Amino acid sequence: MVKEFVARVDALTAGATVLDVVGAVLMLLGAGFTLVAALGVVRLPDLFSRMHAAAKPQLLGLVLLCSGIMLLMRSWAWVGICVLVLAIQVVAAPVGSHMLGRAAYRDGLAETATLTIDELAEPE
Amino acid sequence: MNPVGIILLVALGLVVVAAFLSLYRLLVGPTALDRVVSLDVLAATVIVIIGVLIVLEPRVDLVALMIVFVLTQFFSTVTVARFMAGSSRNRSNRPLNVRGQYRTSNAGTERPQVTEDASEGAPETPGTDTAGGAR
Repeated sequence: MVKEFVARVDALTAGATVLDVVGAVLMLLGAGFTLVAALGVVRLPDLFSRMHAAAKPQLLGLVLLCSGIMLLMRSWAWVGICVLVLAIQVVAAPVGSHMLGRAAYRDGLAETATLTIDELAEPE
Repeated sequence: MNPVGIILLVALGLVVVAAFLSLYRLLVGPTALDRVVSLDVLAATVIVIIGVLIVLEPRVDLVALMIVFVLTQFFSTVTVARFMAGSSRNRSNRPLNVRGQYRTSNAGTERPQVTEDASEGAPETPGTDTAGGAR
């Protein structure tokens, strides 16, 4: 079964050009950044640093992944699809992070003593 | 095997490791909000796996799955954040510290306590509490 899979991947990727390799490397970098996001979520001590670690490498990883797919597929339809995916992610991800951060503040998970400006503080 | 297949398989391996790491955080995360963050990363790893499968197998039809995942990935975050606001404080009458454990003393905390919240008048539902943030 493994041999079959290797043969199939071989047939698929026979005659790889430079663009193919560059696209594959970009997808590898995207996977690496997703790994960095997961590492940050596991290693960092509190919720806000975990959100910080989860958000940025995740988006960068998705950008690299979509660039890799574009380079490997090389058609305008895939460019449109990848730009659509990136646009959705860029719009949707901050919405979730914003509400999550506010919920965490309301739960008292934020260290308000260390803040310079606290815009969510209860008005006196 | 030629380089493209090898590189993509390595990428698949990295992403599977990332998925298991975020599963670990999903298991041990002290609060529900930590678990939601790790679910977000888990969804990202699934998106990367789908992307690699699109290229590695020629499964062009999986692109619909990819778009749906990106579209619905933030629903869980928004839902949990909306309904969890204030719940871990209200359930125990004790505030949590930064690590999600119960504070043993109130030294150094300047946040209003639950009794003050309750004396403000009608009890707010978590939904309106979250929505009315822009004051």
